[in-house]
Amino acid sequence: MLIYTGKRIWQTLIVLFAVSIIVFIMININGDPVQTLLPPEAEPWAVEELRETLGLNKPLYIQYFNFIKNAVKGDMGISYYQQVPALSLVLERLPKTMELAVAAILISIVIAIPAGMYAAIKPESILSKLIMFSSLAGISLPTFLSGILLILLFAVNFSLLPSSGRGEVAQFLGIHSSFFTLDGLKHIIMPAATLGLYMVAMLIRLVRAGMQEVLKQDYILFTRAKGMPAKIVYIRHALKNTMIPVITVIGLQLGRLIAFSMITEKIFAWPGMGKLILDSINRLDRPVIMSYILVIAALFAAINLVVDLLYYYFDPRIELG
Amino acid sequence: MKDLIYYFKRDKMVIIATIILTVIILSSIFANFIVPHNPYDLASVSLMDSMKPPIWMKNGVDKFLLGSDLQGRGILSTILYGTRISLLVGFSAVILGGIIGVTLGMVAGYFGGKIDSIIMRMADIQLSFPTMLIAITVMAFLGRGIFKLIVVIGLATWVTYARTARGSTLSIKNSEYVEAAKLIGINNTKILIRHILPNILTPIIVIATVQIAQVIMLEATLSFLGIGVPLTEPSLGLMISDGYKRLLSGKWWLVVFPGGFLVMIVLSINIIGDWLRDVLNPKLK
Amino acid sequence: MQREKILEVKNLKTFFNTKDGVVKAVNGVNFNLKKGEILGIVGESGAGKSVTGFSLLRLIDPPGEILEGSIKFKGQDLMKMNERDMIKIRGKKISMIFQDPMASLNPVLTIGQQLIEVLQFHLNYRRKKAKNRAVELLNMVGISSPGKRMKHYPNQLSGGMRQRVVVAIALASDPEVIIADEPTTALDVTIQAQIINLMQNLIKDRQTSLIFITHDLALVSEIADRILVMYAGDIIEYGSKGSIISNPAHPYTQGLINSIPVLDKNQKRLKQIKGLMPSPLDLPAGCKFRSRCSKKTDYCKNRDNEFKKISNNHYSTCSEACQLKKELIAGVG
Repeated sequence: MLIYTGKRIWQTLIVLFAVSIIVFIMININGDPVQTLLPPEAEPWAVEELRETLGLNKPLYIQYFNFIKNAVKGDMGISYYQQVPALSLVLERLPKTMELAVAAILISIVIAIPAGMYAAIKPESILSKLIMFSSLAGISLPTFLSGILLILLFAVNFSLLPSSGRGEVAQFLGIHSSFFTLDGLKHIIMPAATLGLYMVAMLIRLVRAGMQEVLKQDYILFTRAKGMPAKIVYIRHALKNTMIPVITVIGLQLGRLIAFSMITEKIFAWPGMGKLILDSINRLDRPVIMSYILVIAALFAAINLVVDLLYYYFDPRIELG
Repeated sequence: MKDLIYYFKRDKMVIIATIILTVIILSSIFANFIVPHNPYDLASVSLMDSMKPPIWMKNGVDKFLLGSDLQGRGILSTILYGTRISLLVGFSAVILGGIIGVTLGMVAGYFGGKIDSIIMRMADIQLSFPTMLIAITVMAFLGRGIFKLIVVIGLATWVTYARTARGSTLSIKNSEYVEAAKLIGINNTKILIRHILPNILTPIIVIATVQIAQVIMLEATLSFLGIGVPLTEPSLGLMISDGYKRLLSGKWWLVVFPGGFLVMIVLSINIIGDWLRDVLNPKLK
Repeated sequence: MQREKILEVKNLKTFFNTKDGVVKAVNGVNFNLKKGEILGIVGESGAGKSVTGFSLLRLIDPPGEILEGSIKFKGQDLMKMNERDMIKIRGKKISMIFQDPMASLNPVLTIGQQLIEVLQFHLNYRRKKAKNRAVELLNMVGISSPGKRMKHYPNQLSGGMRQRVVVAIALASDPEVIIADEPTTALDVTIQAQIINLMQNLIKDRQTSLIFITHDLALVSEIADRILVMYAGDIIEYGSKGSIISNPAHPYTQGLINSIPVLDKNQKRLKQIKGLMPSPLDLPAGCKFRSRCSKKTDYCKNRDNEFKKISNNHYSTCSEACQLKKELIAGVG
């Protein structure tokens, strides 16, 4: 178990290393940040001076080497635009994005698991067909569009919910979150629903397919032959088996959610990481972009590891190795 | 094939989806002939026509069936021209990603060993990032452009095809007819193209169908973010982005029609893709 | 002494509606089961034995359907029961053992969990009591260090052990009838014998009735009191074990017996029954075995499926056999 975890962490480091090189090269072939930072009429000596302070006059491999040296110490450089450490800028936004992602996952689990189970158990009923069609429609609706349609409906037409920003935040057990105030909840519900919609749609299909497969198994028939009531057959016996692939997908989707949160955050002006990165991309703020990508890569690697371990917990047949 | 037609006739949803998709594809290909004037021809648009609502509403004009945008372009005309680009990007990127992915996947599966582990390790690394994230970051660096979009999306999606192609190749590379072909001295390239490729095509086609829908959504998303199709070209994503900026003014038709069109295209393709998967999957029969 | 009839099945019909047509898997069978009796149901695969077993517990899912018939358990018709009462019969009064012990236990729940839930649900045992009883049951079916085994998952046990666990689950609530569907087919021969012995001993003590479904006539002849032979959805012959084995009336049963390898006889070659069972989608009228039968006559084309008495407690649908029998008796007389 310990060896396995160690091995996985080692693999993660290799991935991070590869990613850092690719991103570093990519950033460098595109655009000169000095030109975006200084007014176009700036004197050549001012341009040179800024290059020097940012370390951009050195050869590329030395820039990379310096970058890695500092990165190991947790120093990803200073944001060109905001003049604060880039990493802390990203990390400060992380909880806000996570808050959105967690809300989206909660919404999707609460809706998708019962809906998917129902559609698997009663495939011929009209409700099941409706569920399946809605989930197909949900998959066909791009995140940005569903967000806009929600705003159009609930903010513009009915004026029920605020269309942008994060609301009041309260502290509970040391966590600052929108979940603890009414205003906060009002603000989070639309972005979370937008972000979760695709996942709901996808999870429904996944749960249904998995459940149908499980329901065909002999042990389900045997459980029914044991005279167990529907609740035990479906929830205790079938759902646990269905959950194994579902957990993997939820884990992998968490990464996807963070990517999609860029769009959601842009549409709802949610002050998270996604909005930060889109703004930074426009400003060619390299340290922030680098920090963001490496934070995301580390986050994804951590998620993958947790998913693997959960997988092991849920499926006694799996031997880690 | 006979089976395919049999199942096709029995499924009303697929028939409707196919009809809708065919109408959309044909009308966007022949947009030049259908649309009275090209919305991107500056001579034919007039700011006088700016922001007209759809024809059935108060202030609607006969000229614009679904209303017009800020520049005075007809919404329906722009949609048809934009759909053409969406379809172009969708099909081209899928073909590009498919060719790269299938080739690498078959090579990995067929030869195994070092090549296999290098290709699959690359795939694993890429797979640990969502396609959307890769496409957004790369496009942000490269800047807008239709050709760039096709290449970036193609490269961002090769993994899906590669994994499937590798799996299928592995399962048939030891089959008797491949062994026989090897014995009589047919070279590897020929075996891959003539004997393996035709046999792994079914799952690839299913994936490609669903991928077209995914790519069209991705293109719209990138264009919406301003890093996809250039501002000078028509695009559903750009139209929606324009509408989004004026959302609070109540000009809903700027968003709803291009959005609805986009969903119709993607949903139709998804319905067909789903159906293909069910029909072509031997396990379910 | 006439023993009490515990199960009476009348005109049971179970059909499956498939894409290609209606499969008449069980086509109106009648039989009964007495207390403490071991009844063997024999036939080749596809004869409708397993479907009969599942029908008794009403475990037939769409596209399958129990079309008609009555299944009287101690006088109560199971067909008229609602699902709520039915789950109090399943696993409590009538339990079932499946063919493949690898597949019949849930891979993600421990042995203990799968055993305890039966005791808790059917006998309303409290957790502690159920746990103790579960250990007792595992011990009873011959599983060593049962306390430790309770925490194991099925994949940690061998096939034979798993089937012992399945037997323990089937016996947990002290049922009156056990339906065992090819319980040993998936096991090694030595393990087979152990499981059969175990089941025989356990049910003898409790006067439990057993329906033993198998394709293996030799096996059933070792343990059953009575035997039913099924062919293409029908019962074609039934009677006490002795008279079926020593005096089979239906040509199909004769064929089955001839195809059993016997050690002490100097058999050069096993006699097999030629041909295949007719497609269940398209069953011929009259005798369904006709196309494979060496003794067929014109009469077989449209004869009914009535049972003819062969001897006391021995009936067969084949009148040819009946005819033959009479001639034989006449000849002797």
